[in-house]
Amino acid sequence: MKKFLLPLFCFLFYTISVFSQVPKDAKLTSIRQVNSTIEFSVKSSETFYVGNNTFVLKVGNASFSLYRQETEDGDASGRLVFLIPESDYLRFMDADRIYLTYGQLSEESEEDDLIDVCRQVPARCKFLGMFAKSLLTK
Amino acid sequence: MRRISFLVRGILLFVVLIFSNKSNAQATPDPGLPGAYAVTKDTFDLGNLAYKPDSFPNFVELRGSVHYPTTLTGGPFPLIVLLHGRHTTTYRTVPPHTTSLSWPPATGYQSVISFDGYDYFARTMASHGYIVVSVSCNAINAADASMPDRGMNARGQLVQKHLDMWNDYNTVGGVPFGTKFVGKLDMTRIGTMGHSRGGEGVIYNALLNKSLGSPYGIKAVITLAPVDFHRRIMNGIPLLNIAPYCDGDVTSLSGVHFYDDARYNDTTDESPKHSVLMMGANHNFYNTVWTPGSYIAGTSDDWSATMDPFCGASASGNGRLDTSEQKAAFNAYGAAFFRMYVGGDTTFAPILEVDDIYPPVSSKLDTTQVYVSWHPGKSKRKDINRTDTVTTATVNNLSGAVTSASMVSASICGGGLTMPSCNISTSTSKEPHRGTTTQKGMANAALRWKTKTALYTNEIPAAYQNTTKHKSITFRASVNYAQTLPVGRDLDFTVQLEDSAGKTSNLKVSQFSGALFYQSGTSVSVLPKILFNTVKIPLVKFKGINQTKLRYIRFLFDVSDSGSVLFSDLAFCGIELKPCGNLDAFFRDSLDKSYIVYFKDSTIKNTGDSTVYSWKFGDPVSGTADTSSLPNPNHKFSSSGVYKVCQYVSAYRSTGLVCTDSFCRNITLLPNSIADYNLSHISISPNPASDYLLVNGALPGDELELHNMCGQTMFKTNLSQPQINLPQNLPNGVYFTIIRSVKGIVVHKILIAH
Repeated sequence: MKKFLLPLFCFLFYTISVFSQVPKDAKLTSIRQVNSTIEFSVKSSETFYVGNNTFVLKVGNASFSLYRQETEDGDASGRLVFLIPESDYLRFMDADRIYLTYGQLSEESEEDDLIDVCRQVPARCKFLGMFAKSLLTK
Repeated sequence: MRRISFLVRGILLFVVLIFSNKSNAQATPDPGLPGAYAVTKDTFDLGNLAYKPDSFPNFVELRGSVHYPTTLTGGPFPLIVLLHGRHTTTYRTVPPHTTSLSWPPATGYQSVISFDGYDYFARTMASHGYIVVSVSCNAINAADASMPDRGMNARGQLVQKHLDMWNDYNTVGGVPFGTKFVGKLDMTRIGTMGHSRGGEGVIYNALLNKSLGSPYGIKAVITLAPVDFHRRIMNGIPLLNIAPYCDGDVTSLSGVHFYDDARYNDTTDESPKHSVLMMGANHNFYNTVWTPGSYIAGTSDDWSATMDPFCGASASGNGRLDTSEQKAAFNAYGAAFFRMYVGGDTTFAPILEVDDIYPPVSSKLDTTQVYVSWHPGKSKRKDINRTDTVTTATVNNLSGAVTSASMVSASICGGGLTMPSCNISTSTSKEPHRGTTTQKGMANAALRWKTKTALYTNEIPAAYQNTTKHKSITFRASVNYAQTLPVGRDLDFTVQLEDSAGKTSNLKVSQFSGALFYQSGTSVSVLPKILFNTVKIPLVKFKGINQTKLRYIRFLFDVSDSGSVLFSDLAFCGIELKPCGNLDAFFRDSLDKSYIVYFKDSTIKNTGDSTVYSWKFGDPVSGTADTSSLPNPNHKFSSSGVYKVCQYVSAYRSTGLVCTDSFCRNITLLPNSIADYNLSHISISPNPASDYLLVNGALPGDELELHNMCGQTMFKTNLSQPQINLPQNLPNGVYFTIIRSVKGIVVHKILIAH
């Protein structure tokens, strides 16, 4: 029994103590067009980390790091609204993978590499799903 | 196991150094110890929406703190400005103290006082006679994510605005300080420090100040765990970049580019660049307001991989610094840098110029926890091989041949754009210095060997073979962990010099530096990191060769059967006098009764040069007395007011005039305030002293203290008479004499030899 307790304790301690820049439940909630900018909204039940690096939204092989970081007073939830020029948006393809990372984790690599990175560094990387043009709301 | 490895490494390095060059640890005075001044802290708050930077959409706060010598006598004092990084801006006043990123604070919220987080450092600096202002930057932090410049222009403008404010406090006074600081700030001697985004912010500020014609004398800039999003390059001002190895926020340690990019960017740049790599330090613990346990809200240890064997705080035997160690480390190295370049105290040069690799005791670090790099100014450096272009793989910067034998590879890589990659990783967090296909980085030589007969040689052409005017050979190096086995093995190699007669002299890198350590940590895409650190070997240590005819510098990879190192910036360093040498005009002043000001020349000049002085006191009403040619003149000003006093210095040698320099400063005389007696007239002799000291100019009731170089008070007495007999049991050595008067403190340095 003892030999199970220590690994269990370690696992629990590790799980509890891990500090994440990217919240585990971050998800893409909307894509909408505002004039010539496409806004990708990513929400979480926790606030997104307020640090000195940048969040990066990677769609296919393109990276974007201009966003509004919003925390609502009295509300623990957080929202990142990435601001993507329409000209870039038009190059996106259906089924492009969308990732959210804190910092440029793998800037020279192909998007597939991020799958492994997100698996191994969940505190800094989250797979948000596949892009589809049908997600856009005007 | 890791801990044992670090311990063994430390012991080995210690033993090696003991038996080679270093006879005495802590040879350099400790810059991080408190100074003689009592310190007072005040805060100021001109409003949350008091200023609108041109480059920013919102109004921002003008708020901060100031630490200063309590009595403010003996000034004017140099100014240090601190700028914090990006962090939550407000927190709810009731539990659970939720944080928010908004500005100004909403009802029920208070602002997070990130600017308070460096008070420990501000106190140290103020105790040494500096006025230290820490600036709040919450409004910019709240809205910079959507700005292409990340708010950097606004940060630069915010610092400049505070400099304007403090210039006003220094000249005419203002809310909330009244005239307390009038005449107390030396706006020609300023240091700035920015943490994180604040780091890039102070670079922007230095460039902004320069673009405005340098209204303020920024003499030194520290970037502490900075971002470098935009790769602006600062030349002409001494730089210190501090890189924390376990940074969990700015994992790419992008501030290394401030150093790298500036090295060869400006061929006239005389300003040195320094970097300090702090192993085990994270991003947040430099700021107490961001540190768990030190503030009410929004704190965290930014290093998220808690089980990483080196950086993970939960891993057994990890290499992390605790919060107090990390602050102590910054305190010591930050103070060394500012006290040297802002205060002009070259006592700390050995720490920053890699002559003394023992960390100051107050830093709480050992030699395996901190690595310093140094890139001297132009005239103190002769580049042998910058390793910055592909051609330097075969021809060095002196046009000498570069050759190798029995190497697996000896190539140039990592500079980015079209230059080949060093093929180490796909992550700049693991290779902070390197470039990418879209951005330039630091190129380096990559040397890999699989036999002990491998060697790499730089030829020194005849025109440069007389190296007697140089002091040392320097280069920066890093282990290439990706090509070094077994994992965890530190490397070493031999540096060999050969003269034109074929005589050789060999020294091991490990005798002088721990830079060839195998980098620790395993966190995916972040660790281990390739980081370049300076190896400096004094030329005098190479025995038995003719240093007037030095023909080859060779690296012999004869210590291990295999390995791989990256290196850059091979150079001779030391004194190589330019025509103007180190001439730097400067004066101090002190007030006496009746508007008389005493000027004391403090010009730095070259040994052997003769100097001629000319002064203009900016007081034309005084007629012919408005000028002087004395080295240390005094002038009776006609009335109260602000006077621009200028000192002009000409240096002569046997060949005639070699150069000139000037220095101007505003002197503020307040009505009815000129009653201080003149502290600068206190003199102490003889120096060296054996049995007694003669103290002239002090007042009855003043006290004399003798402090040793560790800051301990060794002797103390009242100055009831000029002659003070010294105790015979006082150890021989260098002491600081501190005279404490009701009007201030005067510090001298003397040598006692019985």
